[in-house]
Amino acid sequence: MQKRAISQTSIMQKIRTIYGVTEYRLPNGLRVLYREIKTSPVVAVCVTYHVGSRNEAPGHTGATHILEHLMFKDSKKFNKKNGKSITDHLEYLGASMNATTSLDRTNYYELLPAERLAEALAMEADRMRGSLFTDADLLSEMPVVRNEYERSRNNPYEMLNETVMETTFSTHPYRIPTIGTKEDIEHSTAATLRTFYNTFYWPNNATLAVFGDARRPDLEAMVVKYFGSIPSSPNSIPTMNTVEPAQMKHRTCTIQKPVGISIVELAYKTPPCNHEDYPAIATLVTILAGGFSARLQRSLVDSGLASDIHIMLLPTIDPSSTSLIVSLAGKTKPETVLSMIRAEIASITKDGVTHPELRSAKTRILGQLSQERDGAMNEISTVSEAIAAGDWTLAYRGETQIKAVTRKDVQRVARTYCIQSQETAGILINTL
Amino acid sequence: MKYTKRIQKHVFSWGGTLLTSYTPLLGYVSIVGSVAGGTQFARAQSNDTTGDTLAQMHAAMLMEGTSKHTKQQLQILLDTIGATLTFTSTADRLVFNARVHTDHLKTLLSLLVEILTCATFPEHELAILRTHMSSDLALETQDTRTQATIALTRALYAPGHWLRDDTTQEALLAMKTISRTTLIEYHRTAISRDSFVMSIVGDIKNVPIQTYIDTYFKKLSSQEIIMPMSTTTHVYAPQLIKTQIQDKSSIDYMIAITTGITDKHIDYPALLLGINILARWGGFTGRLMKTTRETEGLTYVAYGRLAGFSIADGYISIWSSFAPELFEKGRASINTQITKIITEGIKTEEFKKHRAMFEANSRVLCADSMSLARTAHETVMRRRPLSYLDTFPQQILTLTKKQVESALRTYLIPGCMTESAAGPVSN
Repeated sequence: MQKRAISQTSIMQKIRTIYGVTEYRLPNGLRVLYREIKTSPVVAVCVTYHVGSRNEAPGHTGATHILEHLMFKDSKKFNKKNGKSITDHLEYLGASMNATTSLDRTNYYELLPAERLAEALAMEADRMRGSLFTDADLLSEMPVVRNEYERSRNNPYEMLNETVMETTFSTHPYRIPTIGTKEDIEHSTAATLRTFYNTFYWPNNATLAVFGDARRPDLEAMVVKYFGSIPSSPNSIPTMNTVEPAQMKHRTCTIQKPVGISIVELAYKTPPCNHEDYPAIATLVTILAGGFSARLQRSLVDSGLASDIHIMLLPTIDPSSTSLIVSLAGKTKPETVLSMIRAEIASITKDGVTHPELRSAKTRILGQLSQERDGAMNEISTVSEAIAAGDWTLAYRGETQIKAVTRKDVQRVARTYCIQSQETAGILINTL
Repeated sequence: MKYTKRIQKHVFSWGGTLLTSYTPLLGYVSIVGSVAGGTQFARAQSNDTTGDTLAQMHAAMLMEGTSKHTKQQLQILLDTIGATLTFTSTADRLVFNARVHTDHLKTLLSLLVEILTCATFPEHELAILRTHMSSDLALETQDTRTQATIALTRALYAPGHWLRDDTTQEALLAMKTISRTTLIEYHRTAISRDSFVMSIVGDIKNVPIQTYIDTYFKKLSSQEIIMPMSTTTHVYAPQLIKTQIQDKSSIDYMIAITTGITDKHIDYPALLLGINILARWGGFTGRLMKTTRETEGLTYVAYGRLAGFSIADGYISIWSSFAPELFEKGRASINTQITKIITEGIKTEEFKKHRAMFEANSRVLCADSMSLARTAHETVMRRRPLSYLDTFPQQILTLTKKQVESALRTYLIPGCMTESAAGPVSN
């Protein structure tokens, strides 16, 4: 195997260099992204698997997330027996490491001193196909996952958002929270998770990104050494083909909980992240709620009707939703807030936005985009989200796309997407 | 590269300190700055009854308008230049965090000084702030982690101590009594250029930052801010405090003990390393994560830290969360591990690994501009030389196993610790 890996050095194919990032492809299908950043003597490594909770079968919700936990158990070369468990191995070298699961992807990342890059790549390569999790591992990890689930139940914003997503989507897996349902979590078995692992954890279903203080020749040699000999999947990676049926009418959901305040979430069906309208939608919601002088910040928060407003824009691979979430103040009625949001949207639909509003929103978004690329770890996380949305260059195209948005675009997307039939209004009523 | 080489320091003749570091950042800069003040100064100014809330309301009201710009005009100005700007109050500082494109740095700094010198605290905005705060505090009453922390610090520290939190109810009552006049008076006494520290990191090549700071910030008044001394509390209060919050799925649990020392104490580095070995914050390699989480599967998190040591005599705090039915088991597991590390000591191998890890990890902590700005600001604000950022990890490397075990035995005393649990915890 080692011999074969060495022979592949010359065939680690360089696809392109764009936005300062070089993209390679290994014969086994692994995509590799590399960017040299020398501002700090650190390197960030992130393996993004193209599998998220959208890929889960009914009855197995939460599997992606539980598997993410189990990927920190033993692997062939990194295990407790040889004194090199996955977490110990890298943390003791100074790494900050973790993993996250979302709707469209699972990612594993490390930020570590630059000279330790080889160790991180060796570990990530080993657990890609060499994870050894057992029934006993699942048994001990299950209460951990359950505690994570219960902690999320303590958060009123998460509770409401889950109800809104469940109402917004009737069949698409986005209707189920990434952490899964309690019943499914508790009925998971190591065998099912092993099948899930054997289905999705392959180099041809993953992207390795390495950003930081690493020299190109060293990186190329290391990638081939550690990942080159991993075979690609024997079967094609299953695709998720569920298409959410068109929403025909306005939907509502209400929950009652003793949480201290009432909260409103107004969601609209919106296209995927790589859709041409996405930048204009981002601009629209920024004009509505994304800055000190945003329209709803003024009318709801500065007026004292609400204590806070924020945006939830999901950069997904499939069509999903965009939400405005408002924490109510005093005795403000949820219906009042919903009416005011709708009225503000109607005003944009009818009269459009002003030049200064558009200019200011764009400036704010460009500021946020720069923050998302501040340092190797932030930049690699942003790229991981773009990978999940189907195109890593989205992480870099945002600036040009936002600059190109016009007043007409903003008005058009308001008219197209923010319509009553595409709306889900969620209310959390505080019972205290 | 050493931090001392990455950060430049300049002290102005009028007392302020500027820290800068060049990092290519798509044309942006991250800013962290502060002046002396904060909740403890406010406590002293307000005879202790409403201090914490006064400092917080003061910070929140700074953005509500100046004699030159209304709140709306300020908001439009900041949004037009794409700047973020927030004011927060810590125990002993009024802190400002900002981010802006380099082209607009001058405008932002000018606005910042205007806010610090000409804030007007309009009455109608104060009324709205009260509404916002009422909502936030209502939410806080149902937050299991916050309520567990409040109950904990109140059990650990006597009234007046810097690290003792107000209850949510106290904050609510204080908020109602603080008037515009109180805020204006407090503002008049709380802002001084003498203690000004600002850290700016990012695309600052060829930007005359020193000139900007000198021009704008020397306009701040110069007055002596006399910070009250923190009383020292070093008594043990072994008890389990239960705060019932119904309809929650998880219990937040804390176990803590006062130490009577600050981070200037000779034992501090050894104690810090010892607590990392027991329960390293944010990682997987602490003993509690390995046992209570990984082996016993009782919790998602079990982290420990040294809390408040930079401003007062701090406390050792361990935080975890449990399902109600696993609470007693989880609590027992954490207590067992605390006892074990004291009675059995630490293993040579884990000691060496954690010691090396501390040094290596210190190199990855400031990998983005805001982290570097924050760290540099914190170091100088605590009257430490910038070289501390390089020498402290080296100091950790010189520690011996004996020193760490001794520090743990001295300060982490099973049976003398205070526990606090909030959530669906039965009596």
